[in-house]
Amino acid sequence: MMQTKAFQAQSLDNRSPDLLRLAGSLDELRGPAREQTYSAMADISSLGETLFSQDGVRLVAKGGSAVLQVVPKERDEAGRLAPIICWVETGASDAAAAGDADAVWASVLRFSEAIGRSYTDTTRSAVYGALDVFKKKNRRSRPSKATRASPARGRWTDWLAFRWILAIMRIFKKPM
Amino acid sequence: MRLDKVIWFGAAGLLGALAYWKRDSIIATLDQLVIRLAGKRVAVLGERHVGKTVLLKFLADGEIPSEYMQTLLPENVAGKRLAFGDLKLDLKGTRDLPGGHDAITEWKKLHDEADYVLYLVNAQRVDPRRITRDLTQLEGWSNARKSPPKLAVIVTHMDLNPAYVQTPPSAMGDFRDRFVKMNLDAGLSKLSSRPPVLLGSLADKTQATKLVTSLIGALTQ
Repeated sequence: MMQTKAFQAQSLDNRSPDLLRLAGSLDELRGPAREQTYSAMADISSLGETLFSQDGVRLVAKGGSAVLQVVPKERDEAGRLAPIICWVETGASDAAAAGDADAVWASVLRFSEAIGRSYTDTTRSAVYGALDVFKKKNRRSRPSKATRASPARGRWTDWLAFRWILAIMRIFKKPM
Repeated sequence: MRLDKVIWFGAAGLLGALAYWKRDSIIATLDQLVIRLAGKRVAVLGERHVGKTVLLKFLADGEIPSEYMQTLLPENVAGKRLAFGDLKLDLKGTRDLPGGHDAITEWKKLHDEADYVLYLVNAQRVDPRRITRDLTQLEGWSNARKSPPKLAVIVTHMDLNPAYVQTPPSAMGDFRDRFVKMNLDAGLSKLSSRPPVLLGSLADKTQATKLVTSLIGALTQ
């Protein structure tokens, strides 16, 4: 299950305070909750891996967390692109929810409409592409059911490595 | 062949195989080591829309971005060896940080790792209160460090100032003194020592090269 946690955007006049809102209620975050949210998103952005970067959409993921940057049609007063950032999380469930990307996109639209931003169809398609890559990557990085069900497999490889080290040690132990 | 030679050749072969297997991480570690010994980390800070991303991109690859974009979250910037004529500077990797207040913790983290702190001001939107607050904050962080970073103030967007554009090089010193007195004195006067102030532009490669050359000169003095 993929869900949005928070949204961030910079004002178009570059003077008003930046926006950092909860995904559900779209309430502006304040105080320690705001600091923690920003810090968590900054952590994903600076330590994560860029999984997708195309058509004004970039997705950086760190484990099951990702920051999705989407560039709307509107620009700031200096003529710069003015992206919004969406914090996306995937749950532990293996069940591939077909409507995940739809729910994330609907959430992005709700925030964007509230602050007066809109997107092209190309951007919309790119968002779906980015979320698909994120979902697949996350599924791959989680251990499969088969691996989880056979801990003996891990022990076997450990045993092989141990035997290999012993064999090397024996070579060095032999008298000259 | 004697047994001890066999063992030594075997060990060397094993190490060679291990080095080949782990070559990427060994190269990365050596690179890090070289950069750590020789390089300096730069922190580029300042309000929104002052040119932080443009300066970092220019420092990283000598190019001015074709499209400009607001920076909302920290982004990593790779290290680079800069060479402008005889002036050379090895820069470690750093982070491009947003100018909004939410990023203040990230500012401090980067400041505390930096050898050079570059504080940027947009000449078209000078906000004395914000500049005073930021410079006072930077000095507070700097004083808390055993080896404080070197601070330089860079005023960007000067290409949009007609008086600056028309001033001949011979009169630039006087122009800069007047500009600083009128626009930045409130912030600079609060500091225990005045940092170098550079005026310039990042509008194109020629102007950016000129600005960075003066910057390297000021930092390596």
